[in-house]
Amino acid sequence: MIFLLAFILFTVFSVLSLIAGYVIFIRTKHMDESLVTLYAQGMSAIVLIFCVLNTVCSLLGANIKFTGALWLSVIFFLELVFIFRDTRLFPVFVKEIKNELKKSFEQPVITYIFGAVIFLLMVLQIVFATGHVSSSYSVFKGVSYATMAYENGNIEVSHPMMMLYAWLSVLLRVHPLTMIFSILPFVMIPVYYAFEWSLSGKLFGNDKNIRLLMMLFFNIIQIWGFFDEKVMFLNVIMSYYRGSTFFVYAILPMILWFILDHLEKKKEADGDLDTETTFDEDEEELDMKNHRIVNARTVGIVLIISVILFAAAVYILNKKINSLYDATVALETRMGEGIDIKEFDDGSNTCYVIIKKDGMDVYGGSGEEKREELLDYLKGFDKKIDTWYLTKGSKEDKASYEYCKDKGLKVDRALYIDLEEYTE
Amino acid sequence: MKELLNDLIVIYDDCKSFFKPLVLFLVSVLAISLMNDSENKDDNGSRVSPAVFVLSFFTGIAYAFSLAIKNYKKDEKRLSGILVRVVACFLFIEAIILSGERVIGNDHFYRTENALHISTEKIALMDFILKDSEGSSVVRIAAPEEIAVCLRPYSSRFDPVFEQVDIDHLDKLTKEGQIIYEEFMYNDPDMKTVADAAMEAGCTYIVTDNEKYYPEFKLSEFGYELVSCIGSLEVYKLKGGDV
Repeated sequence: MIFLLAFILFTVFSVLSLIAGYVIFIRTKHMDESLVTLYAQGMSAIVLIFCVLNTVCSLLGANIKFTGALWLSVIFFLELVFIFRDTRLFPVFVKEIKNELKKSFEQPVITYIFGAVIFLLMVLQIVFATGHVSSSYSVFKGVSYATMAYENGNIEVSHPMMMLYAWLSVLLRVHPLTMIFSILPFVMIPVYYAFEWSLSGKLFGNDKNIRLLMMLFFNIIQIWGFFDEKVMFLNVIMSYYRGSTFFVYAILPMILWFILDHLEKKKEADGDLDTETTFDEDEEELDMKNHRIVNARTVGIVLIISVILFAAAVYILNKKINSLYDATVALETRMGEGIDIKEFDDGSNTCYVIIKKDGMDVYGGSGEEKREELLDYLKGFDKKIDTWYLTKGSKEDKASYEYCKDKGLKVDRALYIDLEEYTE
Repeated sequence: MKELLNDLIVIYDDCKSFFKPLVLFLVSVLAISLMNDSENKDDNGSRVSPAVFVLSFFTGIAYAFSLAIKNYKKDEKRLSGILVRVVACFLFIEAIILSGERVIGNDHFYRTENALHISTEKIALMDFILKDSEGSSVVRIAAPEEIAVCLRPYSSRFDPVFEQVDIDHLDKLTKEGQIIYEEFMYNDPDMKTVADAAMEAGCTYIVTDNEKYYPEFKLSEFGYELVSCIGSLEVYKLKGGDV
């Protein structure tokens, strides 16, 4: 059952990621990228969209179900809009994919065997992560946020990845622990490997063997990759579900991919490399002018606006948290100010005065020679006495109470306390 | 001088695991840089500035090693050349292995009993407490660290006195949390101290492990009663219910 759910989730995420990747690449004019690259970049994009929506929804006070539904709607909407905006690019894209697949089937047998070994190593890691528990307690760090969101529906702004897992748990009706430790390895680990494969393509071109060798080294780094608890997030097998791991193995490689791509394009522009373009340049210029293709400047502006919105959201959230903190401190101060205990000690007797917001309570009394002083002391608080507690059998307490009452001190009631030692 | 040396050794011990991948990365960056410099000036197609790999450490390491294999005797087609490359490949793998510890194995993992990745015994214990405390929104609980870390990930109703503890920063715990944690570090904890601190912290439940702890007196003598025993785990509840 778990494997079925994992397979379904992997398939759904793959389809969404591939479409998102396709949209990104037709918008940024990367028509000749492989399916693995589309999948990796698309996955990063849809997870990032969730992170942004999670921030916005948490500020608006929305619950986890709404956030998840909104996320799916936004993805579907954006993907459909961008796909149908330029339908003529789809056949070109399909042609490129067909060419790429055709090329990949023209490899020597040794490459297939090598590829199968690398793939098996990755599958081994996924199966291992699913069937084994880490002996480190750190693995549970942050997971409680997913459980909280799953049970209460409240979203937490600082743990967007956990909120995504919580929503998936709600959707598939499984406990977040099952989702994170038994299902997610099938979804998250392939993404990180897809990124590495994608980067290897940028670094080594079409030399499949050397790309596979790079993947082998990457696999080995993961299998022998435990360094320290503090840097546990650097290991995919141990920390595939963490936001920090996603950042290190998905977001940063995505940035690296675009940097490498930019450098490659620059070289092409300098005339160092002979490449074919799949686009008609004039047609492309026309499309640019008509704003049918998103150019780098537009993407840059959108990114800046997104960053500003994000910063504003964080700023508002900080303000909210600070005001909440101030309110809590003020409340604590007020509570502290509300009750105060004073002590009147005449050397042999002690009288305690509990000063409350609207009155005060008195415990005990004083000796005969200090009664006048006690009366002045109690009058000094300028509050009425709600209750005067007298120790049963203490003549001093009773006499003090009667003296003060006779002198005009207002006491609502007097109660006896029977101090008898408890014995079993 | 001796103290300074000892301090340096302590700092080195603390940092060596952390610095291992960093050293590997720096070596890789240096290797990429040297290989870029030694390449034919006309063939600059494959040159990539090593600085970009700051964004992705392990990609840089894997790239450096692959590039070294690719460039080493690249015109050599004979069997000896291939063998040299294979040996180099094994040497690089050895370098990676020595820089870290094996993840897949019994040192860091053990087989799971269920899909939740928490032992069935602990799940039964948590289910019992949740059922027993039905009606209360929060269950304040004191438990040894290995159980405490699973509580909140399992249910948000649990409110443990402490969870995962950083031994170097015990001061981050509450006073009661520190007392309970320190007592649970011994095999014969003073259960009176534990019970007093737990009461002070408002704990309705205390969990102990009778295979791990051998106290002189049981918690049942200090205001808590044994309500369940699941495997080796004992659940004590405050006499008279809530604090």
